[in-house]
Amino acid sequence: MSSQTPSQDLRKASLTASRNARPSAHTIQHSDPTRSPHTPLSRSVSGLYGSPGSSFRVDEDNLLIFDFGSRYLRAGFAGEPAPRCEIGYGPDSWRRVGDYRQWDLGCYPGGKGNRDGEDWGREYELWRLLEWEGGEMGVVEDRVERLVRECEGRYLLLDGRSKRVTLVVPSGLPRPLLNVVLKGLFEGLQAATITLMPSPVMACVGAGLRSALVVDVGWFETTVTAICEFREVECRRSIRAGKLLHEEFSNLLEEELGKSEQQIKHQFGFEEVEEVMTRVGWCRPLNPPTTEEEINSKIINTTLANSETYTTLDIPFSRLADPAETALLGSKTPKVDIDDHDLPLHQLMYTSLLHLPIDIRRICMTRILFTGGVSQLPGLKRRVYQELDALVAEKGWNLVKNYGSATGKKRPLRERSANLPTPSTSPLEVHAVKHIDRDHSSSISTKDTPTTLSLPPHLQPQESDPISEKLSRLTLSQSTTTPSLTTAPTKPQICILKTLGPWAGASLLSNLRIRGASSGKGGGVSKYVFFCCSLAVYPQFRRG
Amino acid sequence: MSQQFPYTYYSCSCVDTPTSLLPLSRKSVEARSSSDEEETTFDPRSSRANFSLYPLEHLLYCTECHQMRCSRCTTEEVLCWYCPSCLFEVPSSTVRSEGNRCTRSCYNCPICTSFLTVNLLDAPTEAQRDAEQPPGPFILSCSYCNWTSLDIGIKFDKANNITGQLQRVRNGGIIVPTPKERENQAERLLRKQPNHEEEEEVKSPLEETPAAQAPPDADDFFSNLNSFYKSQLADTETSAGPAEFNVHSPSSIQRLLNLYSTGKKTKRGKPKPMRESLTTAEGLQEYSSSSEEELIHRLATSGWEATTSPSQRSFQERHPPRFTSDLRPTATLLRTKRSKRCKTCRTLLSRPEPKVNTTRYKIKVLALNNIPKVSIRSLNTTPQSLLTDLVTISSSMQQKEYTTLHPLMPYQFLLTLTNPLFDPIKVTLATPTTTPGRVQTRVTILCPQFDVGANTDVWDDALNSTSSQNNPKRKSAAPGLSVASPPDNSDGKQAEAGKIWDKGRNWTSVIVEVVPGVLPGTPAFVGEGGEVREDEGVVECPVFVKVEYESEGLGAGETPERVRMVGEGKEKREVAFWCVLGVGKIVG
Repeated sequence: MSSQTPSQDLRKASLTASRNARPSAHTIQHSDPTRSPHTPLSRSVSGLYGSPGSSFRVDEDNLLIFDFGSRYLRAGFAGEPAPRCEIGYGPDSWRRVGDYRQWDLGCYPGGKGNRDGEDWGREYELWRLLEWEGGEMGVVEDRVERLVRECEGRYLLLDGRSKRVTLVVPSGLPRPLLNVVLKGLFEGLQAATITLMPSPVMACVGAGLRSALVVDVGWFETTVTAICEFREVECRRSIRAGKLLHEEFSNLLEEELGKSEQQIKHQFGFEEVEEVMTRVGWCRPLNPPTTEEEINSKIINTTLANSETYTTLDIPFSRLADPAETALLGSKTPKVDIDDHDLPLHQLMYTSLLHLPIDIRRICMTRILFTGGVSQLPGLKRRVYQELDALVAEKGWNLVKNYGSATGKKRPLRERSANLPTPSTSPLEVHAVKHIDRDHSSSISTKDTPTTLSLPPHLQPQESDPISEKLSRLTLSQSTTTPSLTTAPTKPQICILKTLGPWAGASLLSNLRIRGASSGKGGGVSKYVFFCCSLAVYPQFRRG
Repeated sequence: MSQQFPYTYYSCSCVDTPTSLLPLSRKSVEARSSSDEEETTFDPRSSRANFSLYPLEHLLYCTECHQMRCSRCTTEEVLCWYCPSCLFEVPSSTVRSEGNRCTRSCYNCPICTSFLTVNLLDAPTEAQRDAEQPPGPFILSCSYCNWTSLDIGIKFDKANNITGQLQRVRNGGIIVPTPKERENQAERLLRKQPNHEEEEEVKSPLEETPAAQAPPDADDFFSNLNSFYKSQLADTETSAGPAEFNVHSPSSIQRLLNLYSTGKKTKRGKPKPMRESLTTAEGLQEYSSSSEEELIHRLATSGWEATTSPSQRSFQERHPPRFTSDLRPTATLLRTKRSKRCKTCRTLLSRPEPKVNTTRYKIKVLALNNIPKVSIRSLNTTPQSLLTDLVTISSSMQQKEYTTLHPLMPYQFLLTLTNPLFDPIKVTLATPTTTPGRVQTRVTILCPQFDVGANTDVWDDALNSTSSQNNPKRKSAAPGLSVASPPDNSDGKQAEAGKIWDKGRNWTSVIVEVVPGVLPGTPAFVGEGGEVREDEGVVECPVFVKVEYESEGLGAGETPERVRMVGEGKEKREVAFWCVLGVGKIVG
């Protein structure tokens, strides 16, 4: 890859030429709308004086993708649609070598332990985000090291070729944790380079988009990241995520066990609760239609594997939607009790959209992506969409929630400042307010024309500047972005798109060898501008 | 620990070497420097200890560094790949292109993970049985849980190349193109559509294709996206491609001039950004709430039994499904034979023969043959090797002796060191008086310094007349075999401080006295109360073992601190390590 392919040379040359020479050269490029037959990219000639063919040796090294989540490790090769392995962290990865207690008779999987305690589910997490302050970093280091080794030994089965790793991490990962992960990969895999990619941007690539609002419903927290042109613009978090949902499910199971007639003494293990959550958990729509009554009365029976006797627990199907209500949507919590750190999902999304600059907001609104394990919960996306839609319809895009005492004074203030000739301002004021967010509020248009002349100067529409219009048209046609950006502004709809996930995004990206602009080696095709830093020069970690 | 008591774990020395490149905070640097001065004792209960303790059988030994090597401090190289089910050796190029699973007909049951067999669907008639190739259809069936591929609606025409046939069939018998065909198809679609002005026309060819009958899955979207990105890359490449290459254009002249101007770097222009994907053919997936409604309805009507368990989901190759009817048979994972090298000096530690069918090793340097073996057992019981032939009941009875230690009662254990080396060794043992942790068990080694004989030929001992004269009561060859006179208290022997208990050809036993501590939660416990955590009742004594011996000099690769030349050709060596003795379990 380090050697430049001639096509790049050609492009480079022509680009410099077009800048220096007359603009006619530039127009030649774009005058031909239909594509001429050309040599496919995969067979690009490798040197000006050489012949095609040496590019077959391009994929000499192993391109690996690692995605360390807080509950699962996904790893595999670039260019494949799915990771080769998805290893969940469990108590087994804590044990000594030669400790085979999980095969013991009477050994129940899924940890006992006090559910209220801090350590509930501790064994199933790779790290706690606050842990790096304590002295537990060494354990994380050991576990990462063991995980990488297991992953390589069982699934990746690498040969001796050099390894180039792409690591997908959330951009807010604390540096000590990142250090540990990098060390695990450099030492465990003997990786030559590691490229870091932020996971929300990768989710964006996995959906074929350049901008999106990425909602990652993970284990510890839900993060909502606004991405515009592959840059992270804003990020907001809430603790309403998998862990809280898990707790609610275990509460539900215990309640149901108390209700049942059989007097069974049973303590639910971590895995057991998770199994119920992932198998039969679901989420109601905003206004459940009455026809679903029959479904709601349906009973699901859950098997209690851990109890001494093989028994089943009957739970009505409608009950299984309750934990999501409480944990993720907060519909049972009064609004007063909701704090900034535990905003329900739809509110979190609404707040981050609201705080975005207005043109980024209209781009992100139409491209909402869900990733993360909990987003697989059936019905969750539908519900969040409905809630968000209702919220926007109710509140619009106004940052001020409540004008308080100013509500009454608003009208006289406007009249005086606006220097208006006629006192018939009531339709005008309504119009003016609406004009500000013309793009987003409903029912504007029609009434526009009669009052336009009487508008104050700051509310009047921008005078059209033919030159800048032409310029912007030109740049837009060159960049060939989506028509929604180029066409006349219409009211944007909130729209959810699907993504293949951060892992698949990174797999696409590194397989095509689209270089990041800031990556170390020169000569690559930099089509994208990513927040990626190649760690090719990271002397600390290099061997020897 | 759930291992059988008693047991010994060795702490690999790679923990002490500062491999950690983590920038240490000031506080921890200070803590480390202060702890370095006073040689901290090893704590088997610390959370990191679990990752550095190994049974002796799991350890290798580096003959250059003279240290034991665990899986952390070795690097591995794959020698060959093979399928554990059909024992077919897979070449590395195939592993690269086809993946880490068997590409022949080895499949595992998605329900219970046992092997699947290819069977005829109908019982063959007489005529068919004689035929060379019985006519299909065939199915995959599990002999353990009776799952068959009919459950997911898949039948096969041929009995071989199941993988190739499975790629073309989706659950329910829907024929789909293979991944390669899919990719070609997606590329063709994109080529038909030069720019997005004609996007309306794109949908029609998609509907004609067979893939349109089945709803596209994640793999389809991936290949669509992939070819979309590729076409975007190609787009900008061709804009400056050979089509434009003519001598009359100023750009070409400029380029030619650039060719001959040496060393002058042309500044790269700002590349054209890619556009977003716009259609399904380009990999855009729209979310529809109807699919979720359908999912919930299916969940409600089919119930718990129809959904997949977490273990079944993780066993799938990719895209774990929610319902059992969507499960796919899983191809067997390949396995490898690996050689291991020391991470510090790259010496080969173990190298199996690369053929799949042999289990022999070309090189295998075990710690078992190079490090003295430390073992412990209760003084009152008969040695374990005696019981190997007996039924498990007696062994469980013996286990009871170890698992019912009473607090504050003295117990005597026999610590035996066996020397695998051909030189006599001098051993020094050390242990903290009380074990670390909340349960403080007092440990005393009655004789911490002693010698162990060399591992000479077994017959040397028997033939050597002087030694038998010196020991009127003949010592056996191995400590486990000293059955003639079980060394117990009935022998009239008393444990004495500063004296070894027993001695053989290449082994020596000493007495260790253990007074188990009080468990938290019991009235006698002093200190912070609370519940007994998992494994807190297990008595584990950390013991530091230092071994000194003189051996034939090897010269090169020796570290000067460790080896001092003694006389001609002899070197003084020192090996030191921590090990953990699992003595038993305290009863509350």
